Amino acid sequence: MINIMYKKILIVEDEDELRKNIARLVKILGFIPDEAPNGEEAYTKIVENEYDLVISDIKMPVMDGYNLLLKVRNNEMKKHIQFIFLTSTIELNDIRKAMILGADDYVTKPFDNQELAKTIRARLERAGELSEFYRNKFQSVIK
Amino acid sequence: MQLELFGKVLFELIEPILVIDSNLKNIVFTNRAANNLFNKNILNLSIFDIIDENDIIKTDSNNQINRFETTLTISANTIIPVVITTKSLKIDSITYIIYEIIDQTDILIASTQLAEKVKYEKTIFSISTAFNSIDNFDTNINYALEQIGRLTGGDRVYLFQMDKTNTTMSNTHEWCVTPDIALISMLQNFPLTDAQWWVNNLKSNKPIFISSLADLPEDAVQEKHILQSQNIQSLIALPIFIDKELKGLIGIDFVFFQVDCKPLDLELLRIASEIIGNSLGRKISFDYLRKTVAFLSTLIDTIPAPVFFKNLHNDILGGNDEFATVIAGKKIEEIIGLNITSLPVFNTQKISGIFKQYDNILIVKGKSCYFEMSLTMLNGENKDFLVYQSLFYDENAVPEGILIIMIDVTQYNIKNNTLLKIERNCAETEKAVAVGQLATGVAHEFNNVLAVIKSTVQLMIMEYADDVPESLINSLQEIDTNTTRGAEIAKSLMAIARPNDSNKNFCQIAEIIDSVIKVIQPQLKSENIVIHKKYSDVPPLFINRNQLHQVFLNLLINAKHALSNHTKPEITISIFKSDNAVKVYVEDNGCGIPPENIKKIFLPFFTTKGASSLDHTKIKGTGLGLPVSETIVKSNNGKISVESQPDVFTRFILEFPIPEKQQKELNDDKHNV
Repeated sequence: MINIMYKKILIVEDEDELRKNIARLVKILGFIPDEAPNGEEAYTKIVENEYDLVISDIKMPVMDGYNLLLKVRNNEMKKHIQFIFLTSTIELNDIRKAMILGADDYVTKPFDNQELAKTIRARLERAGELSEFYRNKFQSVIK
Repeated sequence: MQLELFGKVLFELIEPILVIDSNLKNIVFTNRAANNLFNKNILNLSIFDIIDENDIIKTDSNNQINRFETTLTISANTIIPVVITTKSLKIDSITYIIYEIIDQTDILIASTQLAEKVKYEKTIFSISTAFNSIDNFDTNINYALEQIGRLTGGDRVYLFQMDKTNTTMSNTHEWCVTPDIALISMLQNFPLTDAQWWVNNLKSNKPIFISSLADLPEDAVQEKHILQSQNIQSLIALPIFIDKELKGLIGIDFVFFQVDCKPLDLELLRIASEIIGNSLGRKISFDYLRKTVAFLSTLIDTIPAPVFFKNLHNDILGGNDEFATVIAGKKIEEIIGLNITSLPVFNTQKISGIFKQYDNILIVKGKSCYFEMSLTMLNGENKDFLVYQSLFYDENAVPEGILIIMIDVTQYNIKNNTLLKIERNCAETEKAVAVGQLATGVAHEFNNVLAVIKSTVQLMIMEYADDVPESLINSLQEIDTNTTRGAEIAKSLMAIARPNDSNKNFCQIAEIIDSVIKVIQPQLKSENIVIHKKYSDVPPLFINRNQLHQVFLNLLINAKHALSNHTKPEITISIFKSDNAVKVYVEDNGCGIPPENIKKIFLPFFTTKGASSLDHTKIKGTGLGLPVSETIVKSNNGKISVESQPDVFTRFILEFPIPEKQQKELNDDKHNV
C-alpha cells in the first residue's frame, strides 16, 4: 500500500467558490490543499513550495492554464509535478492541446466529486512511484 | 384726174408692189416701198431674177387672188422671206400681174425664237418630269445632261458633287458629244483649293460663264491653267445648292468652238441645276431614310426580345420576328393591322386591362414607362416579361402610337429567387454561426456556474448525509441531477456550434452502428426491443467515427423512447448502396411523428419527451439530440431526413456520398471483373 497521506495539492481556479469547493473536497479526501486564483500566482507558489499535484483551470486572467503548464514543464526542478486540467471546455481540440503540452489528465466542468477524487487518486498513486524513482535518481546524483 | 390720184396712192402704198407683164415676165411698175426694199431700180428686170421661178404660182387670165411663200433675192447676199399675193389685171389686151410683197423676216425670227423657246421648255419639262421620281437617279441625270447638251450644242455636259469631306468635288455624271473628250475619270476628288475663284463664285451663287479663256480674271490663274489643259474654249457652270449649302455644280463645256452666252442656255442650266439640286437633296434624304429604315428594321429584328408598335387603338402597326413568332405564333405580315386583343396571348381581360392602364399613364405622363407582366404563352408555358413602353409622335408632336419592348425575365426571376434563397440561407448560416459563438460562450460560463453548484451540492451531501433529514438530501440530489441536465444542454450547444472536429477516417458504417448497439443493448433488452439488421456490402466512408457514434446513439435512444409501451417493439437498421451514396435507414414501429411536428424535429430545443425524471440516467430530451445529429451528419457531407406515419413507423434516412477515391476503386474493380 503506497502512503499517499499528507500530499500537497495546488488548486488554480479564478472562480473563488469553485476553488474553495475543490479545496474542501481535497481536504475531505485527506490531502493538503493550497489555492491560487491565476497561473502567475500559482507558478510563484509552485516555485516556493513542494506540491504533488496541480489542479488547474485553463481559461484564467493574468496567466492561463496552458502557460502555467509550460512554465512548470520547463522548470527542471518542478517538471515532474502531476498536472490535471479542469475545464468547462469540452472541445477535443483544447483537451488534445493540453495533453500535447504535457498535462497528465483532465476533468471537464461541471464534474462529479467522485470523478475528480478518482482522478486525483490515480494521478497521485502514479506520481508516488515516479517521485520515488526521481528521489532515488536525485540521491544518486547528489551522492 | 382720178387715175392720176390712184397712181399716186399705189406708188405710196406701205407694202412693196410690183407689176409684171404676164407675157414678158418683166417688171413694169414698182412703187416707192418696192424701190426702198431693193434699194435699186429693178424696172424691166425679169421677175425670175428676184423670185425662184418654181415658187411662182401661175396667175393667168382668171381674176383670182393667189398667195404663196417664197424668198426674195434682194442682192447677191440678201435673200428675205416673203409672202406674195398676186392678182392679174387686163388692160388693153395686155395681162398684168400685181405682186404685193409682205416681208416675213421679223415674223420668221420671232417664230424661230418661239420654236427655240418651246424646245427649251420641252427639254426642261422632260427633265423635270424625269426627276419626278427619285428612282433611277443616275439614268435621269444622264438623260438630263444629254438633253442639255443636245439643246445647247455643248460638247460636254457634267455634274460635280461635293465629296463627304466637303474639301473635294468629284465628277459623278457626264455626257459628251463624242466619247474621246470624256474627262470624268480624271476629275475625281478634285481639291476645292485648286479652283478657289471658281468655288467662291459658285458659293455666292454666281453663274460662271467664260466665252474665252482670255477673259478670265487674274485671280483665276489656276482655273485658266486647268481649263486650257482640257482644251476648253468656252463654258457655262452653275452651282447646286442643298439647304443653302454648295453641294455641286452643273456645267457645259464647249471644246470645238468658242460660243457667246445665250440667255436661254443660262436659264436652262439654272433651271436644270435647281431641278437636279432638288432631286439630289431628295435622293440624299431618301438614301439616308432608306439606310436608317434598313438599320432600324435590322436593329429591331436583331433584338432578341419581342418588339412591336401599335396605335392608340391597339392596332398592331409593326413588330419584329421575335414578336411575331413568340407572342403571335405567326408571320409579322399576318398580324399587322390586327388588334392586339386578337392575339391569344394578349386575349385576357387582365392583360388588356394592364395595357390600357399603362397606355393611359403613358399618354398622361408622356415619354416612357415599364412594368412587369406574366403571360401564358402559346405552348401553355408561363413567362414573366419586363415590358417597356414608349410613345412615338407624328410630325405635329401628337402621340401616334406606342412602341413596346418585351424582355423575358422568367429565368432572371427564377435566378433571383434562388439568389434570394441563397442569401437567406447565407444569412441563416451567419446567424447560426453567431448563435453558435454565443452558445459556446454561454455554455462555457454556464458550465462554470454549474460546476460551482454541483460541487457545492455534492459536498453538502457528502458532509451532511448522516445529519439531516432524508428529504433534504433528496432535494440536494435533485439539484445535482438538474445540474447534470444543464451540463448536457451546454455540451450539446457547443456540439452544434463547433462540430468541426476534423478527425475523419475511412470507416465501415456498420461497425460504428454495431458498437452503438453494443452500448445501448442492455437498455433495449430491458424494454424487449428487437433489433433487425439488414446490412449489405457498402464501401467505407470518410467520416468521423466518434461523431457518427453520437448520431446513431441519438437515433437509437429516440427509437427506444418512441417504442415505450409498445407491445411488439422493433428497430430495423438497413445499410445499402444507392447510386453514389451509402444510405442508412433507422426505422422503428413506434408512435411516429405527427405531420405538424415533422418539420420541427431538427429545430433546437424542440422536444415532445417531457420533463426530466429524478434519476439522471433516465433524462429525457434536451431538444438538442436531432439538431446535433443533423449538424454532425452535414459536417460529414451527409444528409439526414425523416419519414413517419403516426402509430405506424418512423424512419430516419441518412445518406453519405461515397468518396471519389472509393468510387474510382469500385469502378476499377468492376472493370477487372
